[in-house]
Order: sequence, then structure tokens, then C-alpha cells
Amino acid sequence: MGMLEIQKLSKIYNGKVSTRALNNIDLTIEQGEFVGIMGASGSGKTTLLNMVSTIDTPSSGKILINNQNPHQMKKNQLAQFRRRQLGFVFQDFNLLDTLTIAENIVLPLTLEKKSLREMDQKLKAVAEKLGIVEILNKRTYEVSGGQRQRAAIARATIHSPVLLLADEPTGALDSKSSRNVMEMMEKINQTDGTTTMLVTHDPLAASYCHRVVFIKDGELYNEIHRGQNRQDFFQEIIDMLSFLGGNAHELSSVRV
Amino acid sequence: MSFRQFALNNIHRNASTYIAYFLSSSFAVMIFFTYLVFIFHPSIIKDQTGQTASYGMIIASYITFIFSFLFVLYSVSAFLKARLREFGILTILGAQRKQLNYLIFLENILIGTASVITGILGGLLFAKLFLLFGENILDFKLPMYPPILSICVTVFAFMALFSIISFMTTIFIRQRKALEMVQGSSKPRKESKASIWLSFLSVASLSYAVYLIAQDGHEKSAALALLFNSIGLYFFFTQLSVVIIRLLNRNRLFSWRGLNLLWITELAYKMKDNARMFFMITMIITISCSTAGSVLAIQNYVENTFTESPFAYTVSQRELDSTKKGISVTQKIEHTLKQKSISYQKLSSNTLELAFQHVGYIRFIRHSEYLEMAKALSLPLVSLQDREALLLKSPLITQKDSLDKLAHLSFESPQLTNSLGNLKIKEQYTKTLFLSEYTAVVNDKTYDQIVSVLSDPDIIDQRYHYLIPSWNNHTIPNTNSIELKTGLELRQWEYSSPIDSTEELDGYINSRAQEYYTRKQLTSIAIFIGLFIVAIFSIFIASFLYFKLFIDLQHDQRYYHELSKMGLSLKEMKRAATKQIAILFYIPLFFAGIQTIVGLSAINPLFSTKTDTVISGLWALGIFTAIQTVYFVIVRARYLAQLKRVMV
Repeated sequence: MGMLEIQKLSKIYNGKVSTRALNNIDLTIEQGEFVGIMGASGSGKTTLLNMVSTIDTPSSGKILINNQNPHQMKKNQLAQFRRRQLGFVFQDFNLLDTLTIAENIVLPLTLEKKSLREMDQKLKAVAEKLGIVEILNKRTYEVSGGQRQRAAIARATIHSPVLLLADEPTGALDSKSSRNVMEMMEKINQTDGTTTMLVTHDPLAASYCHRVVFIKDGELYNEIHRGQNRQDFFQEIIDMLSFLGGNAHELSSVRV
Repeated sequence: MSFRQFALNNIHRNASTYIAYFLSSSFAVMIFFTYLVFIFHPSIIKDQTGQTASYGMIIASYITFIFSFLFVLYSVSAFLKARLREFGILTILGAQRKQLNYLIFLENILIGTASVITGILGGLLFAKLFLLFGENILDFKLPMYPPILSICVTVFAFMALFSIISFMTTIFIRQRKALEMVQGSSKPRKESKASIWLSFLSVASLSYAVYLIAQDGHEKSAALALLFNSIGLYFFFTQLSVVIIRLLNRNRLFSWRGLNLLWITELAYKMKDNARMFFMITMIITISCSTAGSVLAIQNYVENTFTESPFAYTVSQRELDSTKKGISVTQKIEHTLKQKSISYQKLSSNTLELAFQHVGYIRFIRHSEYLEMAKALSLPLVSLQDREALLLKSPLITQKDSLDKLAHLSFESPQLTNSLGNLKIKEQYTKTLFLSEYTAVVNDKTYDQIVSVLSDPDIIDQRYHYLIPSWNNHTIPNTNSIELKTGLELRQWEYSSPIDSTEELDGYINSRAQEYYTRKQLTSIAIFIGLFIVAIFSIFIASFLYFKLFIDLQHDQRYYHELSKMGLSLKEMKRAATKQIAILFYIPLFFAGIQTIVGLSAINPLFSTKTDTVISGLWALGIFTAIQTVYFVIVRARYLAQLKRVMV
């Protein structure tokens, strides 16, 4: 039994023209695994992530996180589930600009009414791990994008979630910051054993994963596992992407 | 598609953005129009008290118009801010400034015309209701009439207003750069700054104001207190509040707990953004509540004047020109009463007014006359020695606490002091014999001594008092009571009597019911207008707050959407948002409440002991709070419904 079980998941958006965004997806992610989801725009990868992050509801099929089905929960219960079990990292950071970095990071804990001592302890630990101790008292607009994303990762992991979900975390960063952020995510995965699911366009980001799953037109297409060398894995991903229909030069690893 | 078509389409396809602006303008028109229907009403214009009050009513109409103007201006700027992005896109697409101005102008005129039409139509319906309400309060018949004049004035005033506003808005847009407009309000907000020194200034001015009020102040210090209070309050909202919130925020035991982190930090921004509005609202609420409180107190005083008056009529005799023939007023009264077969008791008094140290003027009556009155009115009977006085204090006048402990009355005039020394106060009671005056009773010998020392026969006032047992003064007379009708009749006679070279009336009539009625009508009109203005202010304030919230709505939706993804539950969102809205609504009310109570208790000594300005102020505040609470509940529900949509 995996940490995350996705069984026969389908999503249909009803409208004037119904669109089948996801079709019969089966996917298992084991405890401690670091999995990337790749695919072209409109392939359904973000829909899949939204479903797993309980923000969207599936049309059919089910999702089990730690043997619990979040889609059967009541709204308030679900909110609590998200806040305790899941961690989110977004492309545009989603840090609140009215708060300092430190306040942003401890926000999930204050909502849980944890003691100040516990919060300080965890804040210190996570900030040291991610190398953002010196910016803790700054405001979000006073720090760089990479630092903001690291703060967002700190916020997503301070409560030790069972599943960390990242949606294009390097999408708004330059290549140096991208590497840095991905190294941090890898480190968290390795040291804390946090199961991580990453949705990305970026082959460089994907190359940090243990396994990359490709989605095409709402269906699972293929998956490749990483060997010893990240550089080789990166090349494999590029090859796979061009095989999928794109041209290699469209998928430049440098996204500014 | 011509540009004009574009403007029209823009409006009817974007109805939701325009609707708030349209409704608020339409509402402002409606209020103004209804008010005009009232003040231009033929019965109001004809009526005498109506004429007296018309000055106040005209001022009130100006106030209403000025506030409508501010209100519409505010709505339009809120409305344009929400659409900055749209203007930015148009600019990038190559729209000229001229075209943008034309677009805005056209939109404003279209919306303005529509809201004037709907406002007047709505006002016609509402006016009937308003007139009915007025009938109830004023005891007038106010039938509906075709309000041509009001329609003309409203159309003219508001079309002018909308034209001026469209010109002003084009200036508002002109100063912006395209990029700024496209980004709109999505830029990160800088931390709000506050100056410690100005915060100290705020505390200092507020404490100084309190100190000034606490001292037994005269007019000058009251004005100073008002000034310092305003300064203090202004800096309280702009500076001190930010400092306080910052301190709260710094106290992590409090701020890092539950939802506190969310609403406190948001509040720091909302406070700073809205400080001037808060200040204005607080001042407006204070002014309207204090005014309402004082008017209520005056009404209360008018009622007390009636219930405290023992005599139905008092006639003050006056000196006649030796060349003229006097018409006897008392005869007329007695004749009228006999005609209606109403039994009466006639009492006479010869009194004089003397000045005393620490007390002021006191009216003196001789013991023998007092005894007669006391028997009729069941007042305390006291026997008095020489140079002893019985003091009757009317509850209608301002009380001086020092008087209770006073054992002697000392004359101001050295002449009287030399011959009589001091008067010993034997006993004092809180009773009314003569309206609004202190009355002292002395025995006949002392009275005659005083008169002989003064040796001036003119100083003695001769009065006749009519006590009518069948007319009691415990209940306020209604318009049908015989007492009031007779009073109005006598007054009519008094006014219409010929004043020429041969004849004149030999005295003045004071009829308590008629006095009461005339004063009551004046205060009723004041209350009516006061209520109207308070209602307008409270509606405008609620709308200001509503707009303020809905300008920030997009930002707040994004904010809560993100939090919701992180696991903020619906319940928690509601709690945090409710706290924020409640603070916006009730903080100004809270400060206005304190100011009103402090202000009214400062002027309380000016009123008689029977009237408590603070209590009437509390009434006004209570009503205001109730109205605001209704708005709060509505606005909160609408706002939360909007936020709920983005919760995942």
C-alpha cells in the first residue's frame, strides 16, 4: 500500500463543451518517494495535482492519502486535513505580503494554536535547514524570488506534512535559484523522508526526482526512474519530452 | 461599433461593476428628493412654526447635498479604482486620453441620468411614507402633492453634480501611467509607518482635552477641549492605532495564536488606509449623536416645563400709558372660562426680584400671599420670623450644588445689607411656584422693610395666577384638549387685539399649554430633521464602509483563496473576516460614543436637573448603534458570501 494511491481517477469539466481532463489514472507513490509529473500544457498535470491536494474533486475514481479518502470529508474537516497532512509550494510563492517571512512560515502552526516555544523551535530548525535565518524578519517584498520560494518551502514543511505538493516551484525563478530550490526540496525529501509530488515543465527540476511520470492528453503515458547520475536522468527526460511530441529546443532548461 | 456603442455595451455587459455605483447614486438622489418634497410641502411653508424652522431645514438640505456630493464622489473613485486595469488595457491598445475621458464622461452621464430618474421615481414612493411619518411626529396634515419644484431642483442639482464629477474623474485618471493602471492594486503593500512622536502628541492632546473637560470649564476651555480632542483623535487613527497594532503584533504570545496573526496584520493596513475616513466618521457620529442628544434633552425640558407649571394661566400686569385706556386681560380670561363653565381659582402675587451673592437673582414673595398659594397647591406651610426666608428651588433651572449648604442669603446691594443684614435660610424645598426661578418667602414685615429700603414702587411685579383644578398638569395635553384649545384661543385674541393710541392690553398672558405646544412643535421639527440627518449619515457611513470593503474584495479574495489552499477552514475565514469588518464598523462608533458622552455630560449642568443630556445622548447612540448593526449584518453577509466563493 503506497503513501498516495490514485485509482481510476477521471475528471470531466462540464460546460458547453465537456472536456475530459483526466482519464483513468492509476498511480501509486510510496512513502518517502520523490515523484515528478510532467507533460505539455493542457495535459492534465495541474488537474491531477489539484485533485491530490483536495482543492478539486474527481468525477470518478478515488484518491487515498495515508489510507484516508479526503474527498469524503466535510469541508471543515478537509481544511484541517490539508493543514495537518499536506504541504503546498506554488509557482508564485503565495506568501502573504502583510506578514514577515517568519510569520508566514509559522502561520500553519498558529492556526493549530501550538505553543510559542514549539513554534520557535520548529521555525529555527526549518530556517536553518533552508538557509533563510537571516531574512526571517524581512518582509516578502524585500527578499529575492529564490529566498521567497525557500520561505514557502519552509512554510509547507514546518508542520512535517505526510505529503508535500509542489506546483511548478521553479516556474518563476532564474536557473541558479531553481537549482537551489530543487536542492532544498531534495534535501528535505532525503533528511525528513517527506513524500513529495512535483508538477513541472522544467526538466532540470524534474531531474531531482526519483521517478518522473509523463502525462499526455489526460492519460498516463510513461514513467522513467532515475539511476545514479542526475545528468543522465536529465538527458533521459529531455529525450522523453521530445519523443512526446515537443522539440528539444522548446524545452530549454533555462527558464527565466 | 462606434465609440458610443462601446461605452453603452461596456455598461450593460458589466452591470455588476456598475451596479454598486448606480445604486448608491440613485440612493443619494432619492434621499435628497424626499427631503425636498418635505420642505417644499405647502402645509409646511404655510405653517408658522414651519416658517421658523425653515432656516434649519434649508441648512439641512445643504448638508444633505454636500454629503451626497462627497458620497457620489467617493463611490465614483471607488468604482474607477476597481476598473483601473481596464483603462490600462485600453491605453495599451492605443486609446487616446481624449477617448478615455470621453468614455468616462459618457458613462457618468448615462449612469447619472439613470440614477436621477430612478432616484426620483423611488423618491416619489418613499416620500409618501416619509410624509406619513412626518404627520405622526409633527401633528400636521401632510397630504401628498405633485412635487414639481422638488423634481426640478433635484434634476438640476444632480445633473450638475454628475457633470462636475465626470470632469473631476478625468483628472483623476490623467495622472496615472499605463503600467500602473495595468498592475492595478496588485503591488505588494509596504509596511505601514507610524511616528512615535505623533502618537505621543495624540496621547497628550487627548489627555489634555479630558483634563480641560474635567475642570469646571467655561466656553473657552470647552472650545479648546474640542480642538485638542480633534487633534488627538486624528493622530490616534493615523499614528497611534498603527503603533498599538504593531505592539500587539510584536507580542507573539498573542499574535502567534490562532487567527490573530491574520486579522491583526491585515488590520494594520486597513487602519492606515482608512484613518482619515475613520476620523471623519467618528466626528460625524459624534456631532449627530450630541445634537440628537441635546434636542431630545430640550424636548424633555419642554415637557417638564408643562408638568412643573402649577398655574394654567399667569398674567403679568404692566404699566399703562396714562393717555390710554386699558383692556383688562384678566377679565377676558375669566369671561372665557365662565363661558366654558370651567371653575377656577384666582390668586394674586406682588413680587420683586433681588440679586444675591453666590446665588444670583431670587424672586421674593410675602408670606401672606404665599400662604394662600401654598394652601391651594399643597406646598409646605412654614411660619417665618423676621429676616428668615423659605427658599423654593424650581427643578427646571440649573442647580448650584453650593446652594444646599448655604445658611444665609447675602444681598448684593450694600443698601439692603446695611439695613437688614443677611437673611437666614430657614428651609429649602425643590418645588416650582414661579417658572424657572428661585423663589424666597419672607414674612410680611421683612418684605415691607425691603420695599421701603428700595423705595421704588416700579420694582414690584403684579401678577395674577389662575389655578384650574379640572386641568391637571400631570399628563401632556394633546391637540384636542380643552386646555390647549382655550390657550390657543386666548393667544389669538391677544395677538389680534387692537394696538392703537387709545387702547392697549393691561398685561401679558402666559398659558402653559399653549407655550408647551408652540415649543414642542419647534423641537419636533428639529427632531424630525435631526433624525433625518442622522439616518442619512448612518446610511452614508455604512455605504462608505461597504465600498471600502468591496474595493479590497479582489485582494481579499486572493488572500483567502491562498489561505484556504493551506487549510484555512470556512469557519476560520468567517471568524477572521468578521473581526475585520466589525472593527471597521464599530471602532468609530466606539470613539464617537465616548466623545458624545463626555461632551454631553460637560453641557449637562446647563440644563435643569430634571433633564439628563447623557441619557438622551445614550438613546441617540443606541439608535445609531442599532442601525449600524443592521448594516453590519447585511454587509458582513454579502462580503462573506463573496469570500466563500473562493474557498476551496
